Amino acid sequence: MDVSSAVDALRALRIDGVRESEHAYRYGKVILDAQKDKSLGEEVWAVYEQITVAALDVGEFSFAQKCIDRLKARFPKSARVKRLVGMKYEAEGNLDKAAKEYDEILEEDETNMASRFDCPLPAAKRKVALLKERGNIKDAIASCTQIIDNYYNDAESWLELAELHLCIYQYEQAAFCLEELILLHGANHIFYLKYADVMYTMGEIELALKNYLKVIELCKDHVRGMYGCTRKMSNDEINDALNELATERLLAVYSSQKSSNLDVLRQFLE
Amino acid sequence: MVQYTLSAAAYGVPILHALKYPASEVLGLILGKQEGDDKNVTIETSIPLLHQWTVLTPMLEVALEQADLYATKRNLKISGLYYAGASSSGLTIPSHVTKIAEKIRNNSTFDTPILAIDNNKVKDDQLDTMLVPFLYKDNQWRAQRTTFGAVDATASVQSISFTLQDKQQSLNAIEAVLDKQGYDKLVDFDDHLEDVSLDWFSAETLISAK
Repeated sequence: MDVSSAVDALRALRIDGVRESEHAYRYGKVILDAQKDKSLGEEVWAVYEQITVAALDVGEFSFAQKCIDRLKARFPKSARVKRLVGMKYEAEGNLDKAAKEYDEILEEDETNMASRFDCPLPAAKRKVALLKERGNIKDAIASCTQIIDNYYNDAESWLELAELHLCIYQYEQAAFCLEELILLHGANHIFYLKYADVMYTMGEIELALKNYLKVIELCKDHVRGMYGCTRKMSNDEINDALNELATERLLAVYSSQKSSNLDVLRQFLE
Repeated sequence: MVQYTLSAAAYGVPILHALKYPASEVLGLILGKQEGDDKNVTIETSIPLLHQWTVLTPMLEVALEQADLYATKRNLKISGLYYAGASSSGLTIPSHVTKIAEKIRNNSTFDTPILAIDNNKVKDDQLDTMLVPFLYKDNQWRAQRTTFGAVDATASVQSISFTLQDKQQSLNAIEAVLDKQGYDKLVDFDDHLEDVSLDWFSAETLISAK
């Protein structure tokens, strides 16, 4: 594989938002081996970050170190590089050293207001990840809550907080986070979907169904939304209407996609 | 002595599922049946279910209902659950997983296990000890030590055993898939919900033990 194909492949992964570390690492190796990183231009940061994290995911620590060294040479005082150093410690299981790097970034930021790109939010998030890895969910929740106090609009933090609450079965608190997400992003069907799932798990069937309907309103024929509508509440008339809707649309989607699971679906809907 | 025998697919699919989503908790079902006078249980296959938001119940319920229908078609029953935790440490089974396992157990005529993946064994690449069966006894899920060839030398009576059918062949077949990163092709119920043209009952076809 040549360098420009590798660069294209890495970009495609970034656009899709998928990690696929085994592939990303291989593409990264092509670029590094060819020593063509000067040709990356504006993408250099994005690519290096991507292939370093990929290398950490697959345990290629010396490759990751090479990437970090290259970045350090080009951006000597960067907090972003420091964060990657921290992530390497994390991957190697050295959580204390990782925490030290992140703490230093967070301290630096208090005195360094100018650097907008070296913002401490990613470092703060790494600290939450560390607490999670140590199994310390309560402190992870406290840490994540602190982030939200400073960055109220950050959807990723709200979503992480919801997941953390669910780790210890705090359904109401998770629901609260999802409500905030719905307020922040009222057209995103995923947040209504997660909210519906949490409501259902809590036994709030009516609220769950209302939100599943919102999902399919925002995103036509959304499969999870429609399956949600097959769940039953205590009102038979509504159950029948919802079931009819779900049945018709699920069969339509499965047929048009030529799903091998159409037979089981039919039986399930009976 | 109650014997549980797993096919290569039944043993391998949980491992492939865990490797496809190494940063996530994964859950799935095992399908099998109890036959004969000696009441032995054969676990024929595994069905991967979820890799995200595994604490929430609605899609899980849909999957269980459909898996039950599928199992009946194959003259099998849902015979237990498999589970791999997200974190690399410890082998404790969280309560949202034991709840499902207990429901399955209550609906079964025989004792249905939880097959838990020991992430430490995954780290050390020890394929034949990666799955640890748990059985429910005296109000607790307990890890079974007589598993897949390893014998508990301290037990005077071997009363329960879990074996892998055609052990070396099966391990080779699973190893072959791992070497090619074949787990990328595994489809679980979550994947199916994103794209219904993907068949979530097809994971066993990834492993061919000839």
